[in-house]
Amino acid sequence: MIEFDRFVLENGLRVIVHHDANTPMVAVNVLYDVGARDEDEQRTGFAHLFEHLMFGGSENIPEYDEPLQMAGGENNAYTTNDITNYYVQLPLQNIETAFWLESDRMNALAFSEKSLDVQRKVVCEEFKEHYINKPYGNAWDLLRTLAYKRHPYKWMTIGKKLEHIEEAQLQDVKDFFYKHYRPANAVLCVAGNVSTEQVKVLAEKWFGNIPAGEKYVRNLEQEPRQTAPNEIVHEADVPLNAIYKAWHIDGRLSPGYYALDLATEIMGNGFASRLHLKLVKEKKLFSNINCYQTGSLDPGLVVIEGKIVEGQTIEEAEAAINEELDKLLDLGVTDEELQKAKNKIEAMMIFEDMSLLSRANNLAFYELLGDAHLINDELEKYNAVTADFLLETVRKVFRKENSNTLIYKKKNG
Amino acid sequence: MLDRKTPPHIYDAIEFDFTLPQVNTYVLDNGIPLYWLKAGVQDVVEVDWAFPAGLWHEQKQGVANTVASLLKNGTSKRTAQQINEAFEYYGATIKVRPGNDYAIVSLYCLAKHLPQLLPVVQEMLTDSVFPQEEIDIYKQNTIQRLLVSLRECEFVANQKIDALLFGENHPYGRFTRKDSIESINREDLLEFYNKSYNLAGVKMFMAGNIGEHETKWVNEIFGLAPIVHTPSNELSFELHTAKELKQHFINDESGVQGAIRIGRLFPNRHHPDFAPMVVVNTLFGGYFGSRLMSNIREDKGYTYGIYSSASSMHHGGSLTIHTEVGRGVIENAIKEIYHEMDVMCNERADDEELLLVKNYLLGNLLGDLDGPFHIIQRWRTLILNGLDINHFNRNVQVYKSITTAEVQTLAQQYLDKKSFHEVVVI
Repeated sequence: MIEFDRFVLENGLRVIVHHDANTPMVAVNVLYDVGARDEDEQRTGFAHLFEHLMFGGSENIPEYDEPLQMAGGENNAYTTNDITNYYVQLPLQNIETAFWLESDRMNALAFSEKSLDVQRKVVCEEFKEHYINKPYGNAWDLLRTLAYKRHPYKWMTIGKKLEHIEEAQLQDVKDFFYKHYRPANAVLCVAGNVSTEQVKVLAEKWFGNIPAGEKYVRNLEQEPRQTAPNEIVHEADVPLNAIYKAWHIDGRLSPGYYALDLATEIMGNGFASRLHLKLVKEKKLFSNINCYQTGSLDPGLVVIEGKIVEGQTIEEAEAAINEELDKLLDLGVTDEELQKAKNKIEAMMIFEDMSLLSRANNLAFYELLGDAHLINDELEKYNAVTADFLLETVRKVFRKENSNTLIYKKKNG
Repeated sequence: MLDRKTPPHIYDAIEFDFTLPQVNTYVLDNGIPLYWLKAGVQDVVEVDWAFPAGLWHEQKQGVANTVASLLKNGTSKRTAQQINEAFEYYGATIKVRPGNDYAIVSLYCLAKHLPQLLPVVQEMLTDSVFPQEEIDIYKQNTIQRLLVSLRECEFVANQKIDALLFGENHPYGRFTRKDSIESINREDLLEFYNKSYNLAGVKMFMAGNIGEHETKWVNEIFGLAPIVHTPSNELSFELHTAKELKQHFINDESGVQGAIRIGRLFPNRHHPDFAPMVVVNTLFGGYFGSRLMSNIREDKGYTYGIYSSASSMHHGGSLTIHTEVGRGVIENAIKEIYHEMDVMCNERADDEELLLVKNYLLGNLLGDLDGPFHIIQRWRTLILNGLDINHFNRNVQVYKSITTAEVQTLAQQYLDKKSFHEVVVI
């Protein structure tokens, strides 16, 4: 059970306080309700590029990192298709430095041309390092484009292409900031040996007078129900053939999400999972195979991906995946398998809770989903899944007409 | 009106006290040492078994890694599937990390599951049989993974720089090849396993929300195993640092980036310069605000990231700068790296910058002493290197007190560009 207090400033900033008397550090987490799904299709990658610019100085503080490092702090940030999250951890004594820094960049960025110019280049190098200059690096780009025709999940957080990043202008940066980076669209979570009263005083002082801004109302085009299977074959200079298969699943808060997450554990997470035992160990068709889901807030994807052993055919490998899925859809899972999946999730949550930052981040995340209390209901939701309900869920998901298959083929192979 | 220009008062981390919580020593009935401590509130535990079974100890290349990977793939009583199932059923994780000197087996689980899981680990460590079929699957899939990795400039550059510094036949310098994996056989594995995973040479560590209860459980399972001391024949290797200082080559014609590695041999943590060099290296390239990052990423935008880091092994060490940069700016980036070395050697850092580095380093240390797994990791490093709490305390003192003059003197000794090897892989 993770205890916390919650209050809202007049400008709409939601604040969560988590008391932990056992740590000398404090975590300050600011979550903004904006991700790559909120981008214009002609300007993809912008939410992430913007995240970089948040470190380029704010109206009153030329350098974000320096004062924080002087205060013994460490920080970072990440952007997903759904959200953008900034976090700081520093010795408790210096908590106010984090409030000063975070509030000044929420109040107004410096909007520096130099910072934009440099970060465009840095992000382009990040793009190259992770998505161009790596074997199979563009697989997710291909898969998203295949599975999503309307919903903005069709592009990756990093963006569709380098040009979108290279073309970003300072005016775009300003517009984005005032649209999305207002208190009404943010959650602040403070975790450590602090009292709610202390945090109230600090939050009022530093964040209280930031103009509320307009609450961003998300109105995304939803993905229509897929009615026929999609498949593409992509050839590239890679050493091994690979298969990626993806199916649409329910949104983050629906009961089907939890059932499906448990199904991915049983099918493809770990050396005792079904796909590993059958396809890697017994049939020796794949050198590795995984099953996971994207964890997105809007309806996401469940994915099975694996690299095929040299000499085995793509057809045989794919047929073997389908055979395992048929077995799942026919017979469901055993009670023991289900219990194992629940045990794994429970242990994972407890290990995650060891980290102060992770608790702060999760509290902010669930608050953004609607209510920080959700953090304490998660395990119950997993435990409530029965083998029957799991079977019902996987039968809805793993249908042929809901499937998207990317065959990643080696050239001349 | 709120004054946003004036920063809040900062408490300097150099003024803080740093206490590494004491570790308890418990000797199992058969003499195995168990170092343990209680910390944290979650009912979790980490148990480690450290064996002198790293790369240094293998007679044949690839054997240490293969044994580590196959430890949980079959005992005389359980199949690989049964072993994995036993851990996964309880949501536990078992990891075997073969390092340069030690191989460390780590179990992470809920403390209440120790009685079910310790016997499985005991089997793995005393009764692994390395079934032929598991070896065949492992070899095939490892070669496949290697083929993918060899397409990545970063992977190839990491291999090359260590080979240049230590020599291709030295344990710290040699790298995995397809044919070395192919030539491994079951006898090699059994021989290495019997010699190196001998309980006579193990040191155990345990941390979590635990107490004497749990140490008793460990004793019941591991304290009964017979210990057979065998004479150790310590291997030794000669360094063969390459004469050629630069190696540039194209691994992938269509590559859009180059991986740069610039490195040198460097003393290990037993050397008195190691601790002050932690500060020097942090300033130079060890954190986000470093000279290298500020120049090459934050000013020029050549890269997503650049770091320098020191590796300390039992029989040596290295200091290496690593980055991936756009193909068109490789030469510029290299020039800037050497330029920053020159600045380190020729100019004294100002007091403000050094204070920032110290506060950053010590603030992070405070975070690193938080939580059972962090604390036991510190102790593991100390104990496996034959060091004690005084070493930790001395290091903290060095981080707090080093002067800008000392930083410059050390830079002149260790950041002289003439003593570095350079690798670029596109």
